[in-house]
Amino acid sequence: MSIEISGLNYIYMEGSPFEKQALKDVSLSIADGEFVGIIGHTGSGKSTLIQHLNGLLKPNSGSIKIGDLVVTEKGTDMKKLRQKVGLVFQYPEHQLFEETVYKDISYGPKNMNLSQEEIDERVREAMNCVGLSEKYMNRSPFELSGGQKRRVAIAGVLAMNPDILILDEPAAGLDPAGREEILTQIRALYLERKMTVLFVSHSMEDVARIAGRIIVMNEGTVALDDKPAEIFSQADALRKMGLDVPQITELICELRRRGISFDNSIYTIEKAKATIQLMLAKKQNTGGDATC
Amino acid sequence: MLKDITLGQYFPIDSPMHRLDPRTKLILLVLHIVAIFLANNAITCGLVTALTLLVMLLSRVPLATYLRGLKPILFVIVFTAVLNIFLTAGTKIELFGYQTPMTWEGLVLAGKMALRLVLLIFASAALTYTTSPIALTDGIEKLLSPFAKLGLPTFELAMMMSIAIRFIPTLIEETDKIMKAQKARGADFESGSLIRRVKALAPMLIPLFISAFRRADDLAVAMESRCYQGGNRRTRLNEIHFAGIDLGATCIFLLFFAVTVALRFLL
Repeated sequence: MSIEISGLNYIYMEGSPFEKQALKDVSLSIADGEFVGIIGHTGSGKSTLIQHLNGLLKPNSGSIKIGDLVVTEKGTDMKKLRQKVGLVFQYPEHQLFEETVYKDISYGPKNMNLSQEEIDERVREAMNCVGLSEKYMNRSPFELSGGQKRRVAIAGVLAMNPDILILDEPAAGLDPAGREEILTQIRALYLERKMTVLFVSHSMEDVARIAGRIIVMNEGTVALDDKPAEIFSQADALRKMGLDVPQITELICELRRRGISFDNSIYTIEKAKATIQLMLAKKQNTGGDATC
Repeated sequence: MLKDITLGQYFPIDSPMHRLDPRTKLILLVLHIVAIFLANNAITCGLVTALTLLVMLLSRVPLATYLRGLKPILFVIVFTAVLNIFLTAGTKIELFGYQTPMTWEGLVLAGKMALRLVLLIFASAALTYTTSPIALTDGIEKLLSPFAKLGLPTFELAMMMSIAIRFIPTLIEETDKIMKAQKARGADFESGSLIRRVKALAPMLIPLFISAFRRADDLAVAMESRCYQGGNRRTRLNEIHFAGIDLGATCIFLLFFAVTVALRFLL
């Protein structure tokens, strides 16, 4: 399902001394089946932007269209919209409340008034999607580990079968192994279900690895919007916005500065490793001396 | 809905009212409230109104903010006014030749009561808008310090109060976040029968309590790990002082108070 945003403005606490314009004239269009990473400094407006997409925040001006549903129009069926656009908040495990994992995941489908069989099927499917084995079904979500709790919470949103999945910092606060697992699962989910995915993060490494397109937010506006390779080639612009380029890009930049030519499209460790190995092999074959 | 709560919100600007010692403001507020309830005729009512308006002007907080603080108790004001108009004995008001159950005495009483309530809200709002919660608890603690000798745990009380006040905005924010997260999962807090709505609150209240307990636990650990110990031997970074401006304000208030009392009993 596609997303069309045009001329979006949003002001926090209008008319008080704390007034702040969080979004300034944001226009975006995201096609069906895209995997978009949204990055930006704290307070750049990324979380505000995604909360507009399922109608949790009402813009001061501008319009949003999800598929053929106009969110900003009066009388839009919010329940229907929220079923189409699944939003996973930051630290989603803080919203768990039921006695068992099963009941918690079924909260969303239940709100959609589905039949018991359908709910049951969706819960099993969602648990399977996030890699939770069925033996957890009757455990209390509060006795699980941090990573497992988060997977329960993500499953709670997936069980609503959304067409668009939005994740706000899904890997924040997890250890490297948990992080790796969540990211892999999101990627697999995207490939399997053909959803449109919006992935909000401030970790360049994560976004670089899984997104097909990157939107950089800065002070409430869209600063950059391009393919990862193009975005990460603008290291200086990113640093000016208080963002870091992935470490591997940093390394490639440094090597390039020392006169070794590299392609712009290298921004993941795997790709860099392969390229460098290839170059070394070539060098040995031609008998040149290894200077590095 | 959640951002409409203005009563008890500090306005971080600078004004003569902001510079007053919190103790002065607390005592003068009590004095002023007594004066508001003593005022019973046109002149004394005018006096207390004038003083309240002066304080509001000096606080440099926009009038609209004060008016917004009035919203939650608007119903009470209107309700008491209507009761007073209809239920006070006296001369009946005639409208278009018909006798109505309303009385002139009731109308006057209603006006007076409404004025008192409004002034009461404005005066207390003037205190909370211009005094940060921390300064307020400091002031209360200092005012209660004589009772410490009688065994009242003033320091602990003040600490508990400042922690409670400190966490109000945090909990409001948390509530907002949880509500949004549950709405994203199709929760509906606004429609249905009363029982349905109460049931719908569970997905919001349970996570809220869990997070409040977690925060309390974290705070206790953080305080203990920094060797926190309550008690009198603690010194403060910002001592509060009774200064010239406080003396001036006290004089003005005492003068108004004396005149109000005198006029009430003499006229």
